[in-house]
Amino acid sequence: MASTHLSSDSKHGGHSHVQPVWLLFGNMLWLMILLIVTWWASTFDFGNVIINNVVAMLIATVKAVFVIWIFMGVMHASKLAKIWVVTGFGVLFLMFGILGDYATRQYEPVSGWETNVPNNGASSFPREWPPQKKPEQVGENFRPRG
Amino acid sequence: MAAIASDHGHGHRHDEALHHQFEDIEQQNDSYIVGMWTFLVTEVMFFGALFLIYTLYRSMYQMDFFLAHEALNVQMGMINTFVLLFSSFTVAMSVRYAQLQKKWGVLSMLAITQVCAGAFMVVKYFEYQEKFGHHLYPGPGFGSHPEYLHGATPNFAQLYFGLYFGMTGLHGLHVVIGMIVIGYLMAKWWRNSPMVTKDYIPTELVGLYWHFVDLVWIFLFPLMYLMPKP
Repeated sequence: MASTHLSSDSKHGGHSHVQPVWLLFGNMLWLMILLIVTWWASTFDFGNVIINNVVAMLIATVKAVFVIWIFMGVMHASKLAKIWVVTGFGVLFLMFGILGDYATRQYEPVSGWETNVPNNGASSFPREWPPQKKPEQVGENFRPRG
Repeated sequence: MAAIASDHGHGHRHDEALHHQFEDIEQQNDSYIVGMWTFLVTEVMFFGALFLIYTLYRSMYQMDFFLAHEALNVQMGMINTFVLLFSSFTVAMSVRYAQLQKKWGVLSMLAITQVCAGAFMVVKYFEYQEKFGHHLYPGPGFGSHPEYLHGATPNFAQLYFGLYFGMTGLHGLHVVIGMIVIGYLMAKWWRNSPMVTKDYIPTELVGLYWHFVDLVWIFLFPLMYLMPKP
């Protein structure tokens, strides 16, 4: 048997954690159950749209943690790998803080940045929140052009 | 220097997979895994920026995005999610077999993964074909069949489908790249290449990439297919 020859010297059990089949299979079953829960939650009204969205993203985050922690083996990875993974997703979380800029633009009192001033040199991003809908031609950019 | 170099292997178990620049196999494996995660973190930021754009425009045009998303087929999205989650399991099993140095276990699990990836792309093809048939791709002809817009304002629906095609298209590209890399890995295992048989790390790194592809879809599916009514 070629396999016994291969495993005679450099058996890798000592320095890499071999995940048991039940853990991998159980993780897959959990993920599939959570997928059905995702679908069920999308058909259910928890009160308002914000809660509905938060519930959907929480379930997705739980699924992501299962994939990262067990399938990607971060559970048994070194501390260096763990801190790198956490930092990566942490920076992604920080990046979503950029949305705070868009959400607060309506408060800008700067002269010349008012809404209905087309192409005055400032950004043409709508200042009112939620944005006012205007009838648009199909195929045209909705931003005002000077 | 020579004395220091010769001391490096002293006291450690000999390992054929160990390269000369590493102290021991643990350090080598850790370097590979941290390196792969460095790449995956850049991928997180890459897809993260797209999710940021999506979040911004969906919060601005909630009703239009909701109406436009009704054109998507939830059953097809569900099937694809099941297929990808299952393929993540088979890849994790192939890494397990690689650690146990069971060639046929690795090859069979990677073959199932390839079938799943192919099935995912076939489903995606039929989805895209339907959207193209309904003129729902961004561009001058967008919305020329308004009955498929479900009452959404055409320009905002166009924004939604731009993000839909952009994000699922880039995800699909990652699936195709994954299929090529897994195919290469399978060829290495098939030929008993010591690169993969003496060291489980190549299989592990390909596995990490594939799980990441699954990870992106875990967020794409509820965001694109399962929007709550605003």
